[in-house]
Amino acid sequence: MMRVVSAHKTEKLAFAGLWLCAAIVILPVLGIMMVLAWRGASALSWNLIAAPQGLLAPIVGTILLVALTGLIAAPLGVAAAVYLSEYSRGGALVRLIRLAIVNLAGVPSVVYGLFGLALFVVLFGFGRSLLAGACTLALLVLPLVISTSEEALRQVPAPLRHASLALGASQWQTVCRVVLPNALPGIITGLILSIGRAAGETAPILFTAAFYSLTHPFPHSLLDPILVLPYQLFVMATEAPDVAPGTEWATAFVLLAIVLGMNLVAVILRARLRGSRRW
Amino acid sequence: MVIQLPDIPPENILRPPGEIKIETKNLDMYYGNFQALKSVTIAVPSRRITALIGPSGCGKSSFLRCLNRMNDVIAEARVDGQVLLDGRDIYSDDTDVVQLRRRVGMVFQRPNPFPMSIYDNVAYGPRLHTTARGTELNEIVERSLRAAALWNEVKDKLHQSAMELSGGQQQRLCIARVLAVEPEVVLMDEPCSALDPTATFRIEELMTELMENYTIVIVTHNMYQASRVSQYTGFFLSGELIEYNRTEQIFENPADKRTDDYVRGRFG
Amino acid sequence: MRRIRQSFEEQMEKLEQRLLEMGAFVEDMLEKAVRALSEHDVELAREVIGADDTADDMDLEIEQHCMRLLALQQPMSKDLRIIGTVMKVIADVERNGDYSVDIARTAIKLADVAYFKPLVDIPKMADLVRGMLRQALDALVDHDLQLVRQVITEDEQVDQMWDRLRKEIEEIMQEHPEVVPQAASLLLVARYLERIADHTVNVAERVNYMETGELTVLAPSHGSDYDASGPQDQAGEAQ
Repeated sequence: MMRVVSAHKTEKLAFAGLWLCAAIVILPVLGIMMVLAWRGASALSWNLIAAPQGLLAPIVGTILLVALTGLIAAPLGVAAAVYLSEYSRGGALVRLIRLAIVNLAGVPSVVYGLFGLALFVVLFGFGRSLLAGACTLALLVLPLVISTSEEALRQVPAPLRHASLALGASQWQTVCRVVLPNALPGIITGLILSIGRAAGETAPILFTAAFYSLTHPFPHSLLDPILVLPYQLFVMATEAPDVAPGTEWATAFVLLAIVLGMNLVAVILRARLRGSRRW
Repeated sequence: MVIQLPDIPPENILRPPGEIKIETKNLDMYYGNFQALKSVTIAVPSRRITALIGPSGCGKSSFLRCLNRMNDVIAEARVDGQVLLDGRDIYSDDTDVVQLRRRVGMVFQRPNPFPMSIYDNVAYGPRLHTTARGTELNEIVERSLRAAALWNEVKDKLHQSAMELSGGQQQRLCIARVLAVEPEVVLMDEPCSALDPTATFRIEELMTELMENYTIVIVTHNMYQASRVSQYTGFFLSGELIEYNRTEQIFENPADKRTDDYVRGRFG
Repeated sequence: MRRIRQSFEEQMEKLEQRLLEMGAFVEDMLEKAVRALSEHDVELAREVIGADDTADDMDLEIEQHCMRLLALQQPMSKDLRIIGTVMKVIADVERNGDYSVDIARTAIKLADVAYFKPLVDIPKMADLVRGMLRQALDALVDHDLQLVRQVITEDEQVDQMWDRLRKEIEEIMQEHPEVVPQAASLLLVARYLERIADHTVNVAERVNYMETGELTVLAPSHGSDYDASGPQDQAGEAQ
């Protein structure tokens, strides 16, 4: 006897399966947060941040580093994306550029760290500094910024470009007045997500920007080395002997909160900007 | 130096009397290896509506895009022959494409307003090309919207998003946006194919009004629309201009069998 | 792939069919009217008069059919010319039916009158005219310009016959005043036949337009000096 499965039934089954898969994606995030909060519970207090040797300096350092990374990566990445999406007409050079981008994205982050050490710290003479670290991280996130920006530019419907060109706008005017404003939500979202990832990177800043100090000084110039959360965490977990119990877990929790917070900002920003532009 | 090509109109291609605005001579066009237009020679009269009809893929839209060099956007598109606007070849090296597109405006198949306010849409062109701001710009916007028969419907919501207008209103907005640049020629690429009949008739009526001041070339796959609005009609088939004549001649008694088959719906 | 608009083409064929039927019907009316006249058959004449309503109905029905095709099918080019031609042609055919009725009325009027001579020329002329009508409509349906030219040639023959007949009857009227009433009636019948031929020429001219797209008057200023004196008659035709 043939078994007849009603379309309705399969539909329900498929839905349940898909829902389960989606739910599984959420679990690790929640799980990690819960473990960190639980293990770090003893150290998690206002004192953790505000104490003389608390996390305030590493948090500020991380934010400065990330902001500077964004400032360097954004113009470069968006410019490259605009070139690739709006101006290039295929050809060997463009293929080479794309190949480079794909490969850059695949380079392990520790290699960036060594490269940054050689180029920015030594060759350019930035020393182990905020600037050198930001430059290194900018290189790291550049492939991601370019591809998300390019994707955002591609999302702008071609008829809008044609309308602008047909009205006698030059390519550049079209990019500035029609394409970029309409791609902006996507570009900003991509940028925040990219540098959010950079915020948690340890290897690239290991040799270029971070240092560990018990006095927790704030940087005074771009050329000062900085305290940053990932490195702080790295040292706590591996070298520092006299750390209060739970502190490393609480630090990890703060770092993750910052990264998730930035992603949340990206999501909200996208929703709000999208709302004002429809096509 | 511009080499003038011989001016031999092929069989069944009329040269309209009076002032000629656009003229093509032996215009060939290729997309890569595919030849989309084959030696098209046509004279478009000034301040008239010229319709281009033909089955899908016949080259009529490609031809239209040659007239304001919108084909330049496509990397593998290549053009041979001449396109003369007021007697000057727009494919010559000294042509400023931006300037050309100010003179030859274009309305597209689907309404494509910018996701901005109604006002900003119309002001887009003037802001690019002129120093008009404030009151002067307001006047241009109002004049253009009036000319596009849209003013009364939008005058109280100029700063609302253009995306909130209906399809027909959006298309008239696109026409207003083109008129604001004060072109001499308006190219329309199937401007009503996404619109309902009422909106279509409004646009057709508008075209007839615009004819007083503009030269209009419309590509349409709706030959009844061509017969309703145009004075001259050209029939394209497989990249060739088969026949070009007064519209009534094309629809009452075409000279070429292929035109006859097409307008009678017996194409097969 | 050959016939994309099959249902439309079928409707066009049906239209031509209806026109041929109407033509045959009017032709039949004319034949009967002239026979009633020569055979003093009042019954037959009444039949012709009664048939006129049917001819009028056919006229209206075909016109409606044309209007419907115009409104719903948006015919172009030759299809448009065919429908335009049919619409115009049915008016001429219908008018020919009216003339047949006029001839039938004359037949009733002359039913009790012995002719001063047997009717020979009028039936002959009627046969020729009927043939013209048939040819003109066949030309339309078969797209045959040869038949159009034939109709034009035959119209010249009809005109000559009419001229001859008119002179003959006028002479008789002068010589035999007592037959003037019946001679006058017969003169009118000949005149009706000549007018039918003219309307048939109109049909042929429309067929020529339909085929070539050119509107021209094919027949040389047909008719005779008699026409020149009959503007009232022309005005009467116009309605």
